Amino acid sequence: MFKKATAPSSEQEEVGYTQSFVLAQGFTSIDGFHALIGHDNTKRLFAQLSADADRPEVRPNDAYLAMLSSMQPGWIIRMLQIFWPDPLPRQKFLELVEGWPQAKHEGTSILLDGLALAIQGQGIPYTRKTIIEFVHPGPEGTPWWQSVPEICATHGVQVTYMAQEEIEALSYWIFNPNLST
Amino acid sequence: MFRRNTQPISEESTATEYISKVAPAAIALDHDHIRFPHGCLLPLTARATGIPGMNERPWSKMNCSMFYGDAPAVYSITLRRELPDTMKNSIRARRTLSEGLLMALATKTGRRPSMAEASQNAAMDQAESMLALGKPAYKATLLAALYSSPDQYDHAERARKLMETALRARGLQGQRLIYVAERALHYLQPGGNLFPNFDEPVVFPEEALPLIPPPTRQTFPAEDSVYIGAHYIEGRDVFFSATAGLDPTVPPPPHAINLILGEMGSGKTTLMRWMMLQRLLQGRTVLSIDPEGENNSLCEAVGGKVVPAGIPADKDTCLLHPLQADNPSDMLLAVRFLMTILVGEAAMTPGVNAVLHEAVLTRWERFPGNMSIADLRDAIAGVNSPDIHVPLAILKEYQHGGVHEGFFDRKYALLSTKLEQGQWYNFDLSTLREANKKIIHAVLAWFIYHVVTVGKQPMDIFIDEGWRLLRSGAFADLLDELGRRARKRGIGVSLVTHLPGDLAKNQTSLSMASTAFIGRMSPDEALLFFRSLGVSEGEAMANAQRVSRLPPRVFLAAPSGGRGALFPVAVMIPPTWLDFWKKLGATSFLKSQ
Repeated sequence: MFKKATAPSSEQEEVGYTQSFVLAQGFTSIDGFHALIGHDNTKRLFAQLSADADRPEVRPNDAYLAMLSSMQPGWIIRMLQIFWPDPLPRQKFLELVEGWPQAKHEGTSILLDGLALAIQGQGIPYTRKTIIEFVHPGPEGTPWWQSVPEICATHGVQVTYMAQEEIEALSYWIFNPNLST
Repeated sequence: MFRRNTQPISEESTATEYISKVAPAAIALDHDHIRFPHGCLLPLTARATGIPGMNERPWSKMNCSMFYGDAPAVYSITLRRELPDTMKNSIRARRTLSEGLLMALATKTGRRPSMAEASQNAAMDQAESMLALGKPAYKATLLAALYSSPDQYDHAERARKLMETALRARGLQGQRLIYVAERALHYLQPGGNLFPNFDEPVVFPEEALPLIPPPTRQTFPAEDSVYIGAHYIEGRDVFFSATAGLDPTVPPPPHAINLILGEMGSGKTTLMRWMMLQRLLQGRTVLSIDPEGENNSLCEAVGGKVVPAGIPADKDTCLLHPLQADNPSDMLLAVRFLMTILVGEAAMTPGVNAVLHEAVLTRWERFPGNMSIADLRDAIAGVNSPDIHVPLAILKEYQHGGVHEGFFDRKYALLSTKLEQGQWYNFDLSTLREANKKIIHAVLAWFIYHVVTVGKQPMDIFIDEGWRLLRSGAFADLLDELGRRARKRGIGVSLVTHLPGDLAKNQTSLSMASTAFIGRMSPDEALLFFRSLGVSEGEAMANAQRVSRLPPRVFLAAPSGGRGALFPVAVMIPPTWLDFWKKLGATSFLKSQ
């Protein structure tokens, strides 16, 4: 078992450092985008994809095909889909439940209280976050990266560039998953 | 080995800051998984051979859903567009070598190439030609990692084994990163090593696209939603609204009929109860048809009313006043329906229909509004036709004073269209006698129809063991009309059955079903059901296979009557509720828990 890099006490046995598992080397900026410096000193740009809520007929494969076809030889993208805690829909439901009429009968009262308790007490629900990581190939890659939202929007896929805090949160979640709650 | 940073001090400080922010609190490397304080990571990638674009290539049979099982997961695929010349040269060299070998074999031994060798050679030729024509090719790396809480490790391990089996079935070899599990973290982390020496197949776009996961969207509950449970794969909450369906952001479903299907023990009655009680808590009037009387104690425990099927004991109360309508057209429909259930369709000759028409018109001109059976007989008696005798004879026993007056012709009716708001009415059919079955089913069907068309109160109707009513004929005929009218009046109808074949016979009703929750059932039954929805044969078979493998209490949620994207949902009922039901001696399903 490795421990965090803190000064070990005389009674503790030092077995390693968890920080060595982190390969990226902090942030920089490219044409206004937050970029993470990768393990190989390449600059990585991040964006989150989501299906357009107003368009049920989303065609992600067409969006992906348009993206892949417009990449230049040698360019690299990575699509990452990660489970992510998403308590907001359940919070909304809890608000709705709290607005339901007051129970007039003992039985319904037990059920209503039980439901409200269960909503608050159950494990946090997850959603899937879909992220593109683009290895910035140099200045010629910036216009392409800037055009990705439009490429995808045509097919009902929304693209939101990720800020430094969001990229950090993503890294943190990968390194510190918490499924105990 | 990782190199020491050689950047200026400012960059080094940002690196240190980043690393200290995101580094794992603690980590332990096991031989094929990684343990964190609050979770475990189980990596899995795949290895296979084959030429890009080759028909039988294992990668061409893959899609990203293979890496999603019954556990939260991270899935990543990296694609690097290859330089066309490099790829072309590499494939040309392989092809030259392969052809040379085959020719040498033919010359030296006289052996002709096998079909496999010829096919491989043709695939290389095709791939080389594609590349020469400018088709893009990508080098790919993919990895999935299942996550679990420390105490659920075995569950995630089972899910990983299932994935390995599925991979083998498609000709791929699962790779667990044994003794190099840390490579999963090196690869998955942002800024990590995107080509960490896993299998790196070269793929054409048509092979790459199924490997890229589609984006998801956040789904919030509608105002009238009930909670169903968790998405069995994604882990998100699933809510269902009778008016807005499973996703309020898409256009509302066109009809109000929802289906809950599944074999016995799949948990469909439990799901129905779960939805029904939440609607009751929302202040909705709930009406349920309960063939086995399973909900009687539950209904009484929440202040609901159990309505026994059959003639009421009170001498002034009959079961239903069937002849209620707002206009002569609806009244004629009511009269015809009543006569059909009493004498059967065969007896409804054109002459009888003409008599009923005349009688209703004459009566409505003089006394517009509801009428009794005796009133109807009087009106029929006034018609000048030889066909009046059949309806007069049939109706006689049901009119006031007849032996069956308790069904339709007493002062008060048990089943009134004016229902108390926020009340649960459970119609207990468990005491139904065989002799009365047909007529009671028909009466109930008519009552439900009346509640929708005449009563117009917003409510929810749940029909358990719906196959019994569907087989009664009269109900099946009304279902279409019911579905159409119910939605306009804010009424939801949920039909529960373990025999979807009965639904399939009634094509119109089924095609109107807006949402279906399909629990485990045999592949044949499921195939029959999906075929009847009009989806393609391949899709129907795939869905049928999925359905047949579902565990209890997991349903495939099918928006738009099975024509939307199906997804599995695990029904989650609060422990308080289960305890409450158990105390009331609910179903055997609950007792066994």
